Amino acid sequence: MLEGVQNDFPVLKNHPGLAYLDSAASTQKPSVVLDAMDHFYRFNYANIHRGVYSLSEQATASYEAARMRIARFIHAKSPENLVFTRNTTESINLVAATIGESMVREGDEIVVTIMEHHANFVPWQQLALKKGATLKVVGIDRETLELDMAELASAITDKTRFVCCTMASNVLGATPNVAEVTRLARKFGALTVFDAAQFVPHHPLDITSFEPDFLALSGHKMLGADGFGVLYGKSEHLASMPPFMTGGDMIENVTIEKTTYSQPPQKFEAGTPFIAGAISLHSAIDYLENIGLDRIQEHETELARLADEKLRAMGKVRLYRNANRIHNGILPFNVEGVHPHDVATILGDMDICVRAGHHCAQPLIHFMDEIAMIRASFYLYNTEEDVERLVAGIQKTLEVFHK
Amino acid sequence: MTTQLDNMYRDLILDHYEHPRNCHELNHTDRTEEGFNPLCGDHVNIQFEQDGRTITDISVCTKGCAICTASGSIMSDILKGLSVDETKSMVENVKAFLTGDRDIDPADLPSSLQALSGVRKFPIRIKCALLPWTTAELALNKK
Ligand SMILES: Cc1ncc(COP(=O)(O)O)c(C=O)c1O
Repeated sequence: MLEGVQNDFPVLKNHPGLAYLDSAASTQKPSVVLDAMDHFYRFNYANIHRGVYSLSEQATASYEAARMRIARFIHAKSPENLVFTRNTTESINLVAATIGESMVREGDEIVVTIMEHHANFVPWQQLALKKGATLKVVGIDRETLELDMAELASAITDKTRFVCCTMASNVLGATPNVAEVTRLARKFGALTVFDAAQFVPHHPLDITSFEPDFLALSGHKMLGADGFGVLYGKSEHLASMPPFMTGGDMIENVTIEKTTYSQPPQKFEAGTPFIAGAISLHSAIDYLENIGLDRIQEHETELARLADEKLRAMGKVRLYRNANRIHNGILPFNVEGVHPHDVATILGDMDICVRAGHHCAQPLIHFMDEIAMIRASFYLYNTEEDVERLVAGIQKTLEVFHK
Repeated sequence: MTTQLDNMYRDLILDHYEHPRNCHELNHTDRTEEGFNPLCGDHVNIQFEQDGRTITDISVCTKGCAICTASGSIMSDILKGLSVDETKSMVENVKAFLTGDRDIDPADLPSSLQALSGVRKFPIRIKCALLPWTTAELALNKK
């Protein structure tokens, strides 16, 4: 178990007694990350890629250093494979609106999974509708709650243009075998788009092991600032894709008649970006790797397993997970006879923060014959005390509802 | 647990949640509307049976939290027998009462509604309590 990590997180110190169990929605920020942003604004701030004065050069260097650091973190060939966006949602929309627009024709197919967050579902559904293409949705095995690989294999055909798949479900925590997903997609020449938002906060990621075409992540789910995300794309795609948004910072030459664009990644970064956001993620990755993602995973899994055991023992709690595995510190459950929203209100009243609802994954929740679920998610700064609080909160819920 | 919470989950609310009233088939349906709360997945289906301008029967079927379900159930008891215009002004008053947008004398409202007043201390739950009422309003504003 990790000890003393809580002290690195001002929000937790400022709210003693708070059980923050909603890190899958967004994580708290450690002092080092806050300090890095603060330092940038106090000492180094200027716009990037513009000024020839030294302050702007420093800011540009910090921004590009972040690109190098993130590239190293996911083992991208070059920092130029990384486009900076606002979040995972924007990263995926960028892909759908550029190469998606140009590649998908009437009668084509786009394959997604039932486990997708709306961010990796709705853009593809809308693209399919617009183009007269077919959206194929691959299910999960109802026993194991893992992606149904056999169904995936039969869904991909020579009409498939994109296979869009999460690397870790934000509801179930399940982590599909991405090497197998890419292998199946490549057999038919389909491009792969992976949503790594819930994966990278918990696991080292080496993209050379499966060579995705595109991959998206959000800084705020891994201790970085909110409003900063990343899109990884293979060089050949980024080079040939049309721009996403146009305007400043992404041009090479503008005349009254026409415009030529910068090279990637600048081509996809129109306008002044969230510079401090990039710096925050740089610092967050340093912090995470310093502690060690393996140790973080061990810590959060142990807590989630403890919570799982205790909630199960109460008899009135239904846990949605494969009995043998807990992934990514995520524990989805419901309390019998009590709507999750009521559970979350009672927990919230006791300073226990959980998520209740459809978790932006309505197709999955419906697939599982539910309307909503509660999700407790554990991360590096949670403690056994948080587990005790959660259990006490559920006990209280049962009392209030006379169960 | 705070008393505010106790105030919200009163026995009357829990009773309406466990045993929602008036989710049933109507002889004929003159107006119908569905309402959704995307935050928590609450879903309500409302149907009105009318004789001229009088609401002779109502069906409210909710799949949702205790607050939404109880609110819909309480509403169904209140609206039956009112005229369409009375219903509209009742809905207006209840909305104002729950949101605090306008001063409403609680004494002017049916007493069963008092049970819902606890929700006002929980801003994000007000939506849950409002959903059946706003859905009824949409149904009534249909031509
Ligand atoms: C798996 C997954 N994908 C995508 C997203 C969307 O992330 P963002 O809101 O940062 O775009 C989330 C987070 O809510 C998520 O959990």
